[in-house]
Amino acid sequence: MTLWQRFVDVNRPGPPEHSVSLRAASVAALLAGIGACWTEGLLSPAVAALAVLATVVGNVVAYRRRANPWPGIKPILAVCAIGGFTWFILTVTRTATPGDIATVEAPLAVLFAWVLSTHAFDVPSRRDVTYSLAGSTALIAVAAAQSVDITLGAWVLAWVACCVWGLVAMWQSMSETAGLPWRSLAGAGFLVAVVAVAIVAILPAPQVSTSLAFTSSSANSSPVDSPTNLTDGNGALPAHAASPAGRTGVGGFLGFAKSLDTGARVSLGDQVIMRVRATRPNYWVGQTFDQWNGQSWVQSANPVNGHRTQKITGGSPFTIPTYPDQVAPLSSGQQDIQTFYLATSGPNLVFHADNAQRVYLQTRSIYVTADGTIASALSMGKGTIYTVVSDDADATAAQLQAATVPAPADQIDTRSTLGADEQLRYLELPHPDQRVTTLAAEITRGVANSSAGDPHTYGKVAAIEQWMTSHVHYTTDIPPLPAGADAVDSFLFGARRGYCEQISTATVVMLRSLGIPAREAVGYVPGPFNPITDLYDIQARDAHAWVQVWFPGYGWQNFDPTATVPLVNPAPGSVLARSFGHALSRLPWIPLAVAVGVVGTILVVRRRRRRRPATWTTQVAADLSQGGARLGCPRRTDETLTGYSRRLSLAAPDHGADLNSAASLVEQATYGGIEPSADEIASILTFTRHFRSIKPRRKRRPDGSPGSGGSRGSGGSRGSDGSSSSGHDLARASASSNEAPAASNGR
Amino acid sequence: MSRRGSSSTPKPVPTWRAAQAALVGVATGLVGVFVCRLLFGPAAAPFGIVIGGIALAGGTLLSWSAHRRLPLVASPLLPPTLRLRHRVHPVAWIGPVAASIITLIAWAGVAHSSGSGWVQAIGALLGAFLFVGLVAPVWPARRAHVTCTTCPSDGRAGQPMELLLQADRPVRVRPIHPGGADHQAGGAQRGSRTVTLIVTPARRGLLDAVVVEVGSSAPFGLLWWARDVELPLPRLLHVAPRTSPSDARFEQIDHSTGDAAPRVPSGLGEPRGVRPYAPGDPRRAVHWPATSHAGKLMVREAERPTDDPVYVEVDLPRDRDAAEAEAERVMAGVTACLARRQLVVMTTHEATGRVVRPVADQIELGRRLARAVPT
Amino acid sequence: MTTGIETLGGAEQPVPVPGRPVPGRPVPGLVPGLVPEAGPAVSTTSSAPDPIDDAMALASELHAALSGVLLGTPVAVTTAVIAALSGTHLLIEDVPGVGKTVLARALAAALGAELSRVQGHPDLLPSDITGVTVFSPDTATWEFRPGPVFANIVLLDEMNRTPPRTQSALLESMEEQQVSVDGESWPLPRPHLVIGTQNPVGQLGTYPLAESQLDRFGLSTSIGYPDAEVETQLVLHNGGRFALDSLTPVADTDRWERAIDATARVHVVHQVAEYAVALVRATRSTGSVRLGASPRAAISLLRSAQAHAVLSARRYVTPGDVQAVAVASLSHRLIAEGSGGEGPVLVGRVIADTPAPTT
Repeated sequence: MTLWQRFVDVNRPGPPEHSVSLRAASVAALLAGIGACWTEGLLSPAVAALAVLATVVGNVVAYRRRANPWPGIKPILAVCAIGGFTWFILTVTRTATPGDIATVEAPLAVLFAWVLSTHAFDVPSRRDVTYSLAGSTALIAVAAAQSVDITLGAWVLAWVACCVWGLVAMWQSMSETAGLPWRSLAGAGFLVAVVAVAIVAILPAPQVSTSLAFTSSSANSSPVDSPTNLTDGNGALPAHAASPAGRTGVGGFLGFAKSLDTGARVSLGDQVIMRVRATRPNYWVGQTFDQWNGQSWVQSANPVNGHRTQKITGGSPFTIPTYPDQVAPLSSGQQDIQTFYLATSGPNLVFHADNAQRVYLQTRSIYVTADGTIASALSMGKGTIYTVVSDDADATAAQLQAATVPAPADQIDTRSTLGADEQLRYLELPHPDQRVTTLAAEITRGVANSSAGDPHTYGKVAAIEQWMTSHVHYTTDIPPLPAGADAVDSFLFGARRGYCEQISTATVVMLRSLGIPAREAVGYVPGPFNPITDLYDIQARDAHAWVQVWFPGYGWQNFDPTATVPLVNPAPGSVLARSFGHALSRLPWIPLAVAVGVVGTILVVRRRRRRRPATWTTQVAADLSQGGARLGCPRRTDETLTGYSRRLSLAAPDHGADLNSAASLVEQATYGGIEPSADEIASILTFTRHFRSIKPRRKRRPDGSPGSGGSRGSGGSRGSDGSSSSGHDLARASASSNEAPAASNGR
Repeated sequence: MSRRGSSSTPKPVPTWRAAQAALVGVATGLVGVFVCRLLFGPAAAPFGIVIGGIALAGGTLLSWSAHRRLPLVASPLLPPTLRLRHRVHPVAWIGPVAASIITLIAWAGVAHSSGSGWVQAIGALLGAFLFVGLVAPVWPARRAHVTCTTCPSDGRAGQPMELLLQADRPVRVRPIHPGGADHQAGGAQRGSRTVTLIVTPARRGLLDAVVVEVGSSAPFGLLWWARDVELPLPRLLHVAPRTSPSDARFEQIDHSTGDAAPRVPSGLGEPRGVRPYAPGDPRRAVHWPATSHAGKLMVREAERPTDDPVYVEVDLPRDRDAAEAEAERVMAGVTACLARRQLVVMTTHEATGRVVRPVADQIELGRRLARAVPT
Repeated sequence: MTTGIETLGGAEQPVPVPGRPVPGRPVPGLVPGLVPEAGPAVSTTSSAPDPIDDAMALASELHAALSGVLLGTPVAVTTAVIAALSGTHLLIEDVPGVGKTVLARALAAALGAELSRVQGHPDLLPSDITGVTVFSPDTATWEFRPGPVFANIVLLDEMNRTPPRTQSALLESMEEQQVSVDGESWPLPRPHLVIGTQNPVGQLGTYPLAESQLDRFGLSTSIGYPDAEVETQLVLHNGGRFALDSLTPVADTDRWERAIDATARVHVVHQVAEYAVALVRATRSTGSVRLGASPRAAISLLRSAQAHAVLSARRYVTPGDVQAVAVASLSHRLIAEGSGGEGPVLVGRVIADTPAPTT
């Protein structure tokens, strides 16, 4: 067969598919895909409704005409497909922004929906329906690419259920079985779920590739007038921390204001503020503060690094200028790409990991302060997305230890400097506090000062961090700051109980008193990692304050006595395992065990009851069989009851008469229609009930063959006498006694 | 592979099978280490080595025991060139497996570089579907139980005949020997069902077992896994040879005359003449014209049929095709003799020896020829 | 030890349990004075006896009478009694000289019936069996001279030596209970019982009966050689002639016919009928049987089981009855090719493989 012939043969349509179940499943899967795309905003409601209508109508039409499909449908569908592709290419070239694949996804979703819903008109054979079912995967995938939270899970579950149903229906149609395959469906669904979870657990988290996904979009935003004041999501000034009517006079998010009041006591909840996809977890800084007045941190109005707040225009992407104190020639130079998906409206701060190089934000201009604060000229409403590309400037402990050693003159990079006035600024304390200085010196006394000129900056910072961890109790439940008190003083020499603000402030004050330039940074730390979406869900209580210390050659480094940020994204598998174990330990085991026990008992009792024989005849037969099995002669399938009882009476001669009469009574009732009286039935049942738990004798007689009565003459005659010995009442009561007409006197 | 005769002593495991077991064990061990590391951290690596060791031992044991449990006896009546694959094997697996692997690799590439966890999760689901669809049919294919409940006792080469099979789950039954078309054991989901298998034997002979391929592709119908099953027939099936155009050797008898003339199948035989009535003659035989001539009752007289049998000696050559042709010719000729109500005594050679017996009817003729072997 | 009825056919079967004791006859072993209770009381008054009771009485008397004549062959005797009670024809396959004629004579004598004997040979014509119409010149009419088939009991010896046309003439008459000669039909006497005998097959020149013809016979048995003790007795008593001559009839043909009708009305429940049908169906798909038993065989099996129940003095048929008569009823219908004697083995296997109902 030539290649062409083989091609034609493979593409020949198969026999018409009659299974309605398969078609329904395929339609349902497509509907799930369209619904998912609609929820993610890729399809407008009108387009989605049209696609749904076209799918359903198309399938019905195709089902009706499955035996002889209209030949003109295929060219029409080809034209439709070509038209769809043309529209897609035109739209993409017109509206897509380079470097952002998300702008392509909306037209792509429309294209998929178009192609699949028109294909629904031509699905006569099983293979076509299967293609339709497989096509729904594309729709779900496009929706999945857009989704950042767990709510897509409902659509995915629906789609998985429809796929399982559809595939099982396909197999049913192939194997010509009928009926609802509950066990197949349940088993297949369970297997698929287990294997999928196993695969998710094993695969590493996806990494954002470099030039494909610098997502940014603006939603619910309004322009910001003031270049320096922070606004909230509605563009209103000023941004408030806590309650505006509170003691401190600021409201909104804690810390994200012009000043950070360490006296304010606010409790933050679990509300998800935003979701972050990042190359690695890091401190995402929003603002830094340089001036401490004993109670609050303030961003001083003086220019930093000789520059006031700059306004950078030109649209996305914005290149952030690098200031001398941010230059880090010794750092590793890895790129850290973070994408922030805002779930609620927030301040117009661009959170980023140090040191930010490029910001992708849908606004005309941004404001950059030389201390690392980036503010947007557009308020950040709910649904805003922006991407920051940073240079990963984190250094290891060893590197930092070496950094403070003054390098030889020819190796000093003059680009990486902290200017003299900057140094003063970052060493400034409101008033000298002897107690704090003494404490700091005491803590860092252990750090050796051997080699001359080596200030052992890192060692000192590490010592203070260590001291904080072991001597301070972290709690958010502390009394309000007394008016006029110095926050650090009352914290360090008071109860030593506080949270991130108090701890970081105290650390900075102690470092400054030791002559180490340090400043306060506020922002967010990574929250829980969602293993399905591979995003960090930042909650309100992940807002954090920490310490930044300047090192030559590495720039400002983050230090935090209270929280550690891991170096790499966690593997989805370990997150899954941990959350699974957590859920398992939280299961209410005792009620669950009780419920299982109750259900199991009910099932066992029901089964036992169903197995109990209905009439007395079946009861007698069952009892005799049971008793016989205990004696070692189980009833053969071809043995009648009387024959069996005769065999049994040889094995248990004591009960011979009763056995035979019971058997004959049963046969009389069953085959002769002569029911014995109730008393007789009762006495038979009593006997058989006793018989069924008969104890086998130690010397078990073998199954005697009839006629070998010689050695057992006594037993045999006793059995044949019947009424004269044991079982007397039964034999007398029963009408049929066990004798044969003495016809064969010739023997 | 087919095995002839029963093997009472276990054969030593071939080296390739031992290598296969070792490889499987090593691979499983590596996967175990990898998984343990991923899930429980680097400290769990020794634990993974333990798992790998257990997997290695288990894999070897499985391979040994699976090797020993191959079914041993094949019916001696099946042709010796028939190779039976008793182990479950996939049928036409290259297409689906290659397509699945390509799809998954493409998806993985896209998903991993898109950075979206959901796309990766969808890919995991897709992989799960493909994995379950490709691997799950092994279970029903292994566990399917098919028996033959009814079969005819006589058949004819080249003619289809019906066998009634009982299967305990919906499987596809494909006859291997003798040949035939696929049949689906449809019906309800659970419980046993009856399949009618139509097979057409190609040659004459005795059949006490048929070989079918029992396959399943549950639950998704992506890949068929099948195994060859030998079904013992409830009774010995005699396949008679075809009836070819009659041999010239049998034609000669037609032209013989005299005492060797064949018996004519009519009640009265050839008329010969009339004779006087004797008590006991049937009233119908009265010849009225002769009676009116002779003045007393005259009855017709018929020829006495002869009863000499035809002796046929069947001598089959060694070559299978020539023997088949010869058997077909004998079949045709003796059929013609039987149609003429002639007594035929046939000599055949069977496995137990030489048999000389009269042939009563067509069925017995077919059986004798089915049992005949070359001298 | 009294064991009552032996099973028919040679396979190991348990002894069936009979019902009430026969009225008027002392039963050894039973405590004297025990009054049987169950079922309608047997009245010894002048009102007409229950036909089934009469049949039971006839059965036991017949059995006793035959056993007195044929020593050492309980199986054949019982089979003959059952054949007589059920009105089905009997096939005896046996070597010559073991007492087939004696059995037929005894049966006829006991039942007060007419016996005719036909010896089969290759020249036997159909008219030798059915009879001829003879032209008698005196009266110038055609007179029908009935053949030997017009008797209550017909013994046909060596059926497999009679030519096929004669065989079919006889068997047609068995089926239709009438004889057609020269266009006229003559009914056969009622009751009518044919006892056919065969020599074992395998000889050239014999005409073995085809399965469809063997199917007409309801029961088959073989007498077999007696054991030494019995043979000595036979020889001493001149082959049982004395017992045969002194045999008093226990019934007349009317009583026999009533017994046949009563036997046909013995109570059969659904499960027993199903069991019988299951046995018959099982014979169709076992071993190397060319053709299994037909539905006619199922009917005949059930009739024989009814007769066995009557013989066991029961008013209902139990599966044990069916098992007891199965070999005799079915084995001659399943001639497999090859050696004979496979019939009983096959039926035994079928019985063992078919589950018997218990309730």
